Amino acid sequence: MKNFNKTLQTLGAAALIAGSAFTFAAPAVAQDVSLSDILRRVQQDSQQMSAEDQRRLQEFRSETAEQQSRMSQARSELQAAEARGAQLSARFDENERQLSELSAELETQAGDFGELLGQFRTAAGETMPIIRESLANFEYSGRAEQLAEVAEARSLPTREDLDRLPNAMLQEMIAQSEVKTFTAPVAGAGPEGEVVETELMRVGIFTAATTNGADFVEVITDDVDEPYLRVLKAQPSGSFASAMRSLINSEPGETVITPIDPSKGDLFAVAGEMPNLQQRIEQGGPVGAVILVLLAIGAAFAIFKIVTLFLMGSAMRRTAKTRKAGTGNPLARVFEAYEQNKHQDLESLELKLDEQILRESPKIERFNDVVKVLAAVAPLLGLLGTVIGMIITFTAITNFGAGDPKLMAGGISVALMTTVLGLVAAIPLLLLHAIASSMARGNQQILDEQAAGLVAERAESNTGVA
Amino acid sequence: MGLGLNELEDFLARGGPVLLVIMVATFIMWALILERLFYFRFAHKTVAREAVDEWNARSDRKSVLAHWVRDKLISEVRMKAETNVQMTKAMVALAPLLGLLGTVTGMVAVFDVMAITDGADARSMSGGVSQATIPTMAGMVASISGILFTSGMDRKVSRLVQGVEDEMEIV
Repeated sequence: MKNFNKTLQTLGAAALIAGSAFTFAAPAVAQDVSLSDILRRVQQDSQQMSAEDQRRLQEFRSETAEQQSRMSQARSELQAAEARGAQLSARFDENERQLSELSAELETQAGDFGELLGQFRTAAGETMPIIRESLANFEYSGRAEQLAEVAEARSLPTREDLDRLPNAMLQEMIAQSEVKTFTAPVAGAGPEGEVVETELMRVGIFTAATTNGADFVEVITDDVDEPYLRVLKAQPSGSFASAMRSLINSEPGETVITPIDPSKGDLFAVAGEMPNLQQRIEQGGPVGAVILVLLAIGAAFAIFKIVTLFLMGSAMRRTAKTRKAGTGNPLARVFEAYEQNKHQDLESLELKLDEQILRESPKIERFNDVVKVLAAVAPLLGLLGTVIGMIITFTAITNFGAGDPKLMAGGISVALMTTVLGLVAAIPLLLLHAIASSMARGNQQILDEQAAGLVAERAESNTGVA
Repeated sequence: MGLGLNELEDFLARGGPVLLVIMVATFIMWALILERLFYFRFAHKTVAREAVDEWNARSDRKSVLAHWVRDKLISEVRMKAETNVQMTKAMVALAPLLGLLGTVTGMVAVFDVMAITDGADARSMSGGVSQATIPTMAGMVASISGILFTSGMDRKVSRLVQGVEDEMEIV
């Protein structure tokens, strides 16, 4: 309202200024428009404008009334809603109270049964991972999921739910006593290590192997959501596989010896990582190789020596009986020397015979010392390898510390394997040398001590003195 | 405590494969020793008798030729007495070496276990330790028991041969 009046005043002032302007300008512009006309026109305009203002004022007033009525309507709605809210929260409190009353009632009525249910859920929860990771689960799937459902359910279990636990446990027990073939996807079974549906034979829930090549299979459970079967990366040595193959090929009812891994694959994996004989020998390094070469050389010399000594000995024994001169063996050559010198006197005959025997001795003893030296060198080389291995070990300790035994294992295996190889070479070489030297000694004795006697007997039988 | 077959089996299983080799070597050694003992005790007398009789049957027991023949007869007795002595001694010398081999293979087993279990479990290493110690002990026992009989063997041989020599008189 105030604003409106102010507007009117401003308009009036403007009209007066305009009028005065016209008054001053009038004599200069035109004299045909009279002042009364202007006044009338101004009055007219102001009347018109005030009528307009009145109308707009009217309009504003009616709008205000309308808004006020709307506001009161909204207020009443808010009141109604608040009332309803209060009502509902009251009902909620009531329900809550009722719920706690009822659950208390349930607890009272359930009593020992509630505790039993708790136990049941715990047991189901504990059994679930065992069955989930079991070998038998790849044959009878779905049991673990059912148990998980029961273990996590908040509602009262039904009779069927309760039966799942004993059923699953019984099935697991039965599976432990079975030897069965079944088909399951196995990782690493394909030629490029891909997952392939493979026929497997399992012994209880402990050991499983593919029936085609008797590759052992293990259950992988670490760091995976769903356990899966995988062919062991390193298969255990042949005796395990052949025992498993004999089981696979056995007739029903037949008794066979079969490998069982109670750790469900871990022990087989460890057995597979054990180095085989060739890897062991390679662990010995260059020193080990040298020892093996020495063993081969020594064994070749010794066996050659034993064979030649045996042949020589039997030939000499034959000659000792027949007393025939010849060139085939040392004793025959001694007889040959006698034949050539028998007309000389005894002194020079003995000298000739001794000379012949001396000439034969090196042939009998030849190579025996080589074997002996090799047998003595082999353990020394083993010792050398041991010391080299210890140096490697201590270098590893100096560089990396003694924290990781696996870092030291390389040097230690060199040290131990060369010792083993040294002994493995020395023992048969010593044995062969003992055999060869006792044979050589026998042959030498025949020649040394018997040659003269045999010659004497022959001389006597020739001359008829006896 | 009865030392039955089960205990023996258990002992052999704990000692590992080398113990089996030692057992075989010990059996061979003892067979050789017993063979020698029986020879010295019984068979030698017949051999010596035959040699002495052959010498006594000769009319000529003085000449150089007769000396040669006597040497030959004595040498035959010595050869028979010395058979297998060398081998027996070799077996006695081998037994401790085999024991050492067992020690080292046992240590290899221990280090295998250490490499696989990161050396944490002392109990799982005990298998290798018994494989290392039992053959050593067995090799020592075999060797010592053999030494008792082989150490006197050379002297026994030379004494027996000396006896035969003494009986063959040079007229």
